[in-house]
Amino acid sequence: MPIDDAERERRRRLMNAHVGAENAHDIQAIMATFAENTVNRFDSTVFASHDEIAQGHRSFGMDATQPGAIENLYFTVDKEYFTEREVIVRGHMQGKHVGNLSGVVPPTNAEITMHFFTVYRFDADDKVAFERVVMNLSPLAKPE
Amino acid sequence: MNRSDDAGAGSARFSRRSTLASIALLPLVSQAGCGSDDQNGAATPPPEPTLEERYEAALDAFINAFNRKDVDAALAFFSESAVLTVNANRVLTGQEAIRGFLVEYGASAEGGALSRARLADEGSYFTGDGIFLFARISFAKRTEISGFAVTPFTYPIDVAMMSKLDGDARCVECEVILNWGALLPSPIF
Repeated sequence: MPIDDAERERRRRLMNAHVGAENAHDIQAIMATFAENTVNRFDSTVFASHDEIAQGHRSFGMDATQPGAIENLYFTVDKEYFTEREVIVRGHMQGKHVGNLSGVVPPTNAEITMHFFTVYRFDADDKVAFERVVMNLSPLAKPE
Repeated sequence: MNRSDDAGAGSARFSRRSTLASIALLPLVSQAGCGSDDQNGAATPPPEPTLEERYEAALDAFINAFNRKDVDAALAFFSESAVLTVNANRVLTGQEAIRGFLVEYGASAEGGALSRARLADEGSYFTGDGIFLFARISFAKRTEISGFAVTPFTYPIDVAMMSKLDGDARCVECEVILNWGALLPSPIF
């Protein structure tokens, strides 16, 4: 079922607000975009609570109050697609890999770019009800 | 209508199988005289599948072909001049180039880097002019693949693929992101 321009703009606005908060490394603003019972998956990792989602964002470097694995982390939306209920983003994350990611990946101190697809679904309260990301994380260990 | 499985958490809200079965059964229903008749007694032809249903069926056929190692059938998902971009920097143009990629990732019983590869559908989304897929490739063991050396363990590769399809439900422009982090000596997934 086609969506109208207003719905398209609503999703675009909400997606940009979410990504904008991530790019501002404002963890409070990021978390405020999520619905209470949001479903969140990043590659194979399912984040089951707001605490886990926040920790995931912090570990990458999206909390200005504490260092993460990626310095000057910044997301860019390259393309967007609309479905009956979702917006799908094709984008890339850039930054300098300066810290361990979840204690697993030692820093390379390289400027890296990691490409991804993300599907967002927003609820009637304009919150992220569903977010799933597939990102190629290999540049963390093998910069391109 | 999407056939997504939210976060792979088992909450599928739409059954592709039931839809495809419905499409497949339509001619049988008609032949059996179960369709509605008009005033002259002629059977009403079954409704044509929607574009969404045709795209879903094409994607399903691709996944099934991949999993039964029928690379020729899998390749039928792509038009002759299709362009497939892999992880933003590897651009494959035409069916033969794409064949090499499919074989490498296990769509053929021979010649690939992944043994006993299986492509698991984790949800798809109709975009109007295409279809988006979340999936995972699991496998038993592997040789070097995409420049990644062999590791003593295996982890599934998360996959996201956007396919812009033509009127014949064949991909003309596709882009796939694979998390190659799963292939690292210290895997990240």
